[in-house]
Amino acid sequence: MKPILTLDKVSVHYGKLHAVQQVSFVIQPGERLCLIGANGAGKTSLLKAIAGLLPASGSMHTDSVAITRKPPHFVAAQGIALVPEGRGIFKQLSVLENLQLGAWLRKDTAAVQTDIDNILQQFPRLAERRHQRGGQLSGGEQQLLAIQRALLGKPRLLLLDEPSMGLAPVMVNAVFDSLEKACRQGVALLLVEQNARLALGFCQRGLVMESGRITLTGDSGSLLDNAQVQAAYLGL
Amino acid sequence: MSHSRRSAWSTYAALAIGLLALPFLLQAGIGRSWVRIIDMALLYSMLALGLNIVVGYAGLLDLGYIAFYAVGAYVYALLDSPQFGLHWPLWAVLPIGAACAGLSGVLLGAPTLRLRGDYLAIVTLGFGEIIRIFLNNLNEPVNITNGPQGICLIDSVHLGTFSFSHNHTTMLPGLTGPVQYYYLFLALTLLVMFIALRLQDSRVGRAWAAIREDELAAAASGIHLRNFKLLAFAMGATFGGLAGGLFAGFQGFVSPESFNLMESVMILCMIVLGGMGNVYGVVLGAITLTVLPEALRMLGDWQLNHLGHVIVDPNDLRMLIFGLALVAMMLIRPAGLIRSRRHQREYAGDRP
Repeated sequence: MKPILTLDKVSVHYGKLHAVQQVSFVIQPGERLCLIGANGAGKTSLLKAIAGLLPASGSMHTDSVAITRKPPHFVAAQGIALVPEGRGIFKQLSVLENLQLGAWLRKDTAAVQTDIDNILQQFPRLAERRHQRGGQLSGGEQQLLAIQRALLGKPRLLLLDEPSMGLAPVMVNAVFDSLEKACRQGVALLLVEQNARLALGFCQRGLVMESGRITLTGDSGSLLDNAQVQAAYLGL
Repeated sequence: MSHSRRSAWSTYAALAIGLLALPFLLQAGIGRSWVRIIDMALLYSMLALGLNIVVGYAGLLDLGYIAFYAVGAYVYALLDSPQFGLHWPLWAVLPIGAACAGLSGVLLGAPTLRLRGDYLAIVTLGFGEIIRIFLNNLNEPVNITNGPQGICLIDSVHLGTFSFSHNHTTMLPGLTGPVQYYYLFLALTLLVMFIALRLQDSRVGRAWAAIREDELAAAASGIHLRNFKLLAFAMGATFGGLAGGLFAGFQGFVSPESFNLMESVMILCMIVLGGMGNVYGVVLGAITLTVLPEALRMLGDWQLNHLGHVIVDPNDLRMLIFGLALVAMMLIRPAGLIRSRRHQREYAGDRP
């Protein structure tokens, strides 16, 4: 099977600062890959670069086209959806409008409506508040909404930036339950997460990023057993 | 027909009759000059509706919007005056003016795509000034705009042999030039309102709202930022150019000083006062801010008649009252006279 996303020596600069340096990895269809690392390691920059929100050098391509230095709407059209850090909810727009915007690129209006109905059925809190502003939802509900909005675009790969940040444990569970469901339907995942234990528990494979470089890769089990990872990210 | 629908229809009918009778009532009641003032209010409504697309819908703060009004006005002036001896028909001149304005909207939009908020405001402000200074200085080496003197003897707005500036009192008593302009501007304002309302609820309107709320999330959802931002600039500018052309024909005279920064600020005030993003609010704001200064002028006449001399110059009072009105608005109705649907939601709290 061809990888769904291939990164080859990707770098991102902010002026003279090298946020991401020579990062290479692949994601297979349906795979769950997590990216762990400290604050400022370059995780968010890497996600933004993939999504086309930051200019990057090196080469990035999906199974069919190159997405290096392509605008974000082009990347989205290739089936790569980003749930940005801080969720990126359209705060003044209603929950329903938020969902509809997630399906922006889809032409099958009837199927979109069915999908939206399914989401509302699955998440009663969103259904109750579908005509209220997205900004009025709690943090966890906003995160759920952001993920469902991204999934409405029928992506093949979901890029998630810190979905557990600032959420109560019960909401974190709800968020990861919803991710589990999406993955079972075949969506691949690139998960950036501070909570390394959570991330490695959820994904099959992990990357450790330090000051812009990937320093360790491996399947989750081996990373959880790795002494370095334990000391730096698991607090053991 | 249900009772509520019947009452809605009778409200609309009353409103229509009121709007149709308004100029005659004004002429008979408080004086002829008021019809002209209402004409200007309608022109400003069109302008404000245009700017509302850029600022209210797409969230791009444009402080040089008056430049598009100027482009529309000068296109009309150059193609319909003794300046070049051209007298093109209205159906050609107005669309050309609107198209030129729309094009300059794209020209302004293209280099500013990456800017937001304060930065965008400053660049657009500069753009507005550049256009004005151009108009001021394009009388040398080749005289195009006639410089600061402006262009006069512009043809009135006319359809075939029917001129909107000529009185047709023999056809109908009281059918003076300003009254005819009133009906023309009213019709066009209603058209622009209709377009603005349809745009708001369209797919394009939703894309603009998304860009306004969160540019990155909008782009990540697949919305083509460049195209939709340029579209907002172009559509707003087109309405501005249309209003500008009508203004030139209505006044018969244009000069660069009519298009200064204060005018841009005034139009922005109309939107803020009326309720950003709300079509009816924007029109109400435009009418209020056009009529209010004129009403204040009457205060000067009153002082002259009753006190013998003017103690407080209403012109000085104008800015004071504007300032107070805006501060009061911020405290009492921060979302504008008529809140937009989105703002209603915001203040409605958690009630479903």
